[in-house]
Amino acid sequence: MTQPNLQGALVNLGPGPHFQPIDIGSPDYMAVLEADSAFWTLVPRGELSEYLATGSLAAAFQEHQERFRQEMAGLRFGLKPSAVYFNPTERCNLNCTYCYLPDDLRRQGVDMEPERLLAALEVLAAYFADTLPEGVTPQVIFHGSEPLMCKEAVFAAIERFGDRFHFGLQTNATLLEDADLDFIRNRELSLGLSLDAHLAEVADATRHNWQGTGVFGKVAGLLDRLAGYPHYSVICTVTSTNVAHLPEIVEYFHLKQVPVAMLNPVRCTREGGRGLKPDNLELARAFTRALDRTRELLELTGRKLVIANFANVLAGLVAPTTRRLMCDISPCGGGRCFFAVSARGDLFPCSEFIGIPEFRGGNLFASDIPAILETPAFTRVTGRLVEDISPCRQCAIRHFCGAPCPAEVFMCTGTLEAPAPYCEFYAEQVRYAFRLIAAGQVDDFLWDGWRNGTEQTFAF
Amino acid sequence: MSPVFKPHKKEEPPAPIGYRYACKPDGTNTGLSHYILLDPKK
Repeated sequence: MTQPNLQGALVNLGPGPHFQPIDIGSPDYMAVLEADSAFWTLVPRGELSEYLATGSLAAAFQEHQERFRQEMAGLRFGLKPSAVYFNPTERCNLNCTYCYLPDDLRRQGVDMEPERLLAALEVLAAYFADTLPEGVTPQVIFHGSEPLMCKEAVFAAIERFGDRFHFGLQTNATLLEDADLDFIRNRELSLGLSLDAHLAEVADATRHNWQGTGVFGKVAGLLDRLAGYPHYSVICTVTSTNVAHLPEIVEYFHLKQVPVAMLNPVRCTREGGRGLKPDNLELARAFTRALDRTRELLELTGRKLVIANFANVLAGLVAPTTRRLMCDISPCGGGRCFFAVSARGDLFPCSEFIGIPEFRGGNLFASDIPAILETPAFTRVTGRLVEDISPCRQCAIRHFCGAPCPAEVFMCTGTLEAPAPYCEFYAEQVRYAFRLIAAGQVDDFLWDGWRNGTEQTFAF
Repeated sequence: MSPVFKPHKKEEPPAPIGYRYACKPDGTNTGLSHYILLDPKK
């Protein structure tokens, strides 16, 4: 008979650690988690009760729990904004079915005047000079609607402020010309394109112009011209239209030498997106098949296609502070790690909130940024905690998911305090990530060099 | 000394796995390169 643990704290009692075992779908392992500190260990399935009862796991956890809790507190509450999603225009030349921005804005909206754009960047540069540590360069990502609708102003701004910001450009890519690509390559700008499939008939069903004409041909042609450029990524928005094709889509991206892709489930922020939402479990099956395929392709070719939104979940497990995206943690990054500037100079916690008037915090040209960040429009988002949401407050993976996204949750339910529309999909992603850890395959799915600048803080 | 060959027993359970990494405080890896900016730029 196992000897009772009379020396250390007892698991799930009093001050002892509160461990939650979860089935990760592995024949060999269960995961044991302490959710508040994002602590986890994989234990042999047949020995779960031993690890919970004898105190060895509890002792290992307790030795490190203070550091883990401080780490999570820093990640959740101690960060300052270091990036801006900048919308230089409200207009877009496309009318994608699922866009999170209102139609009338994209069809008839305003551009920010070029001089005003430069003035806005001066305001942002001054703000970051006051708030960021010396040597840290803030990031500005020109975002949409379609930023290349005012290409000259955007490129002039990049030229002017190239030494004060790291610049990125997220675009539908339909307006990119050869000279623009030269400009981007010469400055090593980060570039994000949108492409939803490997076939025109699938991609064009959701991404098309105002006349209904698809843009697959134009964007697919660009992938060939970008082959070998290391600083670009492709966003594939996953809908009920393309979800079944995900394995072929990653195969296509890999063939085209795309270095990084995101398979982002469509946000349900507006009716168009809600109508195209894939079923969570169907999405999970297709998504994990696509991840499997990226690994097979890595083995076959030696070339890795990083699926960044999944890599971020995996990083959240193995190295929480190395996360690159801040959607899958609560509070999310909106309003506390980054914020969005609209073409009118209005500030929102994130681009996803542009078009939801109650989340406009103020105007860049009229109010101080720190004051805007303290308005209810921002603090409602920056104060949104999984601990205040049911059933998230009891969920073992609450700090690997974060119940995203507040904008789509708000538009779907009328409140911020509700779980993610993709709850079950997140659970399946985390279970899959644990199976990769069990198989020793983590490096195959994270970006190269992810350990650089890190130290190992725990080993069991 | 040559390593002792230890035959794998099918009934032998796998070893537990647990590890964690963190960014060093020297700022060489700050995380938080957002969205399309996956390069770990400072």
